[in-house]
Amino acid sequence: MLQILLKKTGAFLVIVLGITFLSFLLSYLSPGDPAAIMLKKGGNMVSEEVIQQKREELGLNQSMPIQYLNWLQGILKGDFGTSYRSKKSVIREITESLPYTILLTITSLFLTMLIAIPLGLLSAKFKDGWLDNLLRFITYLFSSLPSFFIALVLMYIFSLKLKLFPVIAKGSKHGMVMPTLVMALTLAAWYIRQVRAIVLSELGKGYVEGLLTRGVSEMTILFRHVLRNCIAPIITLTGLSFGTMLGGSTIVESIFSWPGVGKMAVDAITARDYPVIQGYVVWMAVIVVLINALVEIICSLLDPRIRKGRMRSDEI
Amino acid sequence: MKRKAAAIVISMAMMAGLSASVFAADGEKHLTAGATTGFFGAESLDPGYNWDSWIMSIYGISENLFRLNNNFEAEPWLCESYENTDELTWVLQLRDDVLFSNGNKMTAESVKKCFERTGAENARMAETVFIESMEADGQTLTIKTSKPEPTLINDLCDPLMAVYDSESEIDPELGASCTGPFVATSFEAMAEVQMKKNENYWGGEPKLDTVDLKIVDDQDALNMALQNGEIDLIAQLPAAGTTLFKDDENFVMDSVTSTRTNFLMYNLNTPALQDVNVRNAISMSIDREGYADVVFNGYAEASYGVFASALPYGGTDGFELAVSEFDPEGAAALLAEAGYEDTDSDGILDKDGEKLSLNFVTYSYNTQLLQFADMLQAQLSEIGVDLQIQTYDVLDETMESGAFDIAALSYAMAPTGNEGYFPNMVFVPGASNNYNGYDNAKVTEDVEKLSTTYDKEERIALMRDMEQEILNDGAYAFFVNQQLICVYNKKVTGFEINPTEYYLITNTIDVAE
Repeated sequence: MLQILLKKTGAFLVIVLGITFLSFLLSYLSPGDPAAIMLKKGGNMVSEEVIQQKREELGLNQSMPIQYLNWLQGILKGDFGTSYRSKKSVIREITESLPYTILLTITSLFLTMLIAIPLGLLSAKFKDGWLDNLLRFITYLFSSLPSFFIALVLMYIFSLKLKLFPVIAKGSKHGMVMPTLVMALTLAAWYIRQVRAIVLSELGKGYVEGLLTRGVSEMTILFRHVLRNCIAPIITLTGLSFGTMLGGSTIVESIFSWPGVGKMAVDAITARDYPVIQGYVVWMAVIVVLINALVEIICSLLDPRIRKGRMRSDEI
Repeated sequence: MKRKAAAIVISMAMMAGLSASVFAADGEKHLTAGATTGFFGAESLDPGYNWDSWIMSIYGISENLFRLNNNFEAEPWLCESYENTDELTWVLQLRDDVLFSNGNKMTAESVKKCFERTGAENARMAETVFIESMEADGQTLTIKTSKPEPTLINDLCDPLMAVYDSESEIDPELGASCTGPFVATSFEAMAEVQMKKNENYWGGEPKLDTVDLKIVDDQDALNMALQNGEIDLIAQLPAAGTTLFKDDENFVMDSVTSTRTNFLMYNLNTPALQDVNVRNAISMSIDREGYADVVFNGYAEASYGVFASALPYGGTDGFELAVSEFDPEGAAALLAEAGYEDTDSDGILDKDGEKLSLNFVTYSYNTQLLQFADMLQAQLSEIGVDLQIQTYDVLDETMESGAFDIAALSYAMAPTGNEGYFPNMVFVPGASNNYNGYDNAKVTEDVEKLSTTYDKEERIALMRDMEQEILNDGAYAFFVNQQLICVYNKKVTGFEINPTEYYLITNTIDVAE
């Protein structure tokens, strides 16, 4: 057990080091000088001397490896650096944005499941029927449309015409309905098709036919037996989405003025705010690795076959 | 069952906790204004930091000793009167009735201390004003400059020279205590500021109790928020959005020509562009009126001169213009005169075996310039000029490296009314934004003279002389002066638009019940 833990921790550190180095390198190589971007606001001009002073102040006059090593040194002391723009600590920047992203992630994933699982099951159950065809059309439509377009259309209908929800999500108690809806509709379109495929493969198994011949009703088979056996792949899917969504949705967050980590990351990239970009990358690496581990544990708890399979492979 | 119930309770508690940290309590009735990042986006409320004093001035939190009127002339604001006693000495008499928002009195000493702090915090100040020393005596502030600075009072209008109480501690979130009609009650960098009226305001009680300024990144969402009644005012509406509000009686739209100008910079190191005929041919191919009408919906002024006509030395009156109208035929004739012809019938002109193919660069995020690029590309292809458009998120490095033939740029050309601001940065050889290698000894001489000339009429004469040289050389094509547009709900009263982009929220703005 200890060995596995050490192995996993080692792999995690290698992943984080690799990802942070790559992102640091890409940020460094991308055009745009943070000092110049910061100083040349609104098409106004400043001299090269002033820009040079700012570069020195931010430590940008050092070589890229030195900058990266300095950053790593800070991390070891628990210091993720200070944002070039806001002068706030990176940890504070992230922790201020995180509640918004976590809230949006939980609500939209919950709504996605609420929509996708029953519709996916029904789509598989009535394969090639009118309901299946209709759902497939709708899911193709929502998968093809960009989320900003869905957001603007929903905004037009629900905010401008029906006046049900506000355009600016933050600061209003029902403001997050719209971003949740957009995220859930986009995600559910994909999930419905995934659930349908998983259920169809399960329906083709022998035990389903056995249950049918014993006179068990189709709905009982579908919701009690098939759904239970589909839970593990659905949880794996959900876990992956959960990890990705905790990185924030840049488009939805920007359109609805929802100050989550996705918006924070895009703003940081635009301003070449390296410490915040690096902080975000570390957060994403940590969260994806942790969520994957968590999904593995949950799946093995829910499905004894996975647990036993792993034990057997460990023994070998 | 118990475990399930516990899980549900924990989940609900988590959601409730998160919700509580996200949703702010509803405030009292107030004016809410929205803008995209550029106009409202402050990183802090410290006037000494980066450009934040500019945004604080827009917010109505900070004020200066002088203020620019609609003609870009400096007028006393926190200063009562001033005297220029000799070339290097300015004696300023400050108002005696101004309190900072924390209740402390504004004195010459506090202004001196605040300028000293800003100078220490922000390197830009050394380029904005050339203060050698300051002496404070009661409400009299004597400034000695290190070199003649005829435009000092204009330069003191730059929001960087905001007056704040630097002797009191500057709150890390709510910033410095200033003298404006509003004070921040909460602030989120680049997202939102909430303000209440400054009870100590010297210029008359602000009519609004509270003001909330929000940044909404998406312009469509921002427009819908105004239509929806969630916000009362949009600052700096892009011209494309004007059609939404133009004929709607529920909204009022104000606009004013600013000094922000869109122009082409021709790289004089490009062999083809060393010929003034080629440069003028391209300038003639710009449908300035069409561009102003179509892309800006009429909220822009077509330009054939150098500076906006709103400035006393701007416009085209009295200038000899090499290019005075959209003239594709004239452009084709100029290219023929320059020796260009289509020898291989491929639709692109050539001379000495070199095709007239030019690399055109502009900002990737400026939709108006992107539309302009497409328009110009189509227009030039009709007369046999090939334009290769390249767009950049960050244009600086491309400009500095000289890797362009033509650049379409957008600059505020006289933000403080200081005539020498733009020429000093662009027209003089070696200047920070002289990317095209422009060098005209007469222009350089005029710019130098300008820096020591105090007489207003003489300054205008120097500017006009310089502009004529610029127009003769045709190294730039200034094609449109943008307008600053604000749109607001008709219940908003007392709002005055100012072309400087420095002022927005004032004590006179009111919201009718």
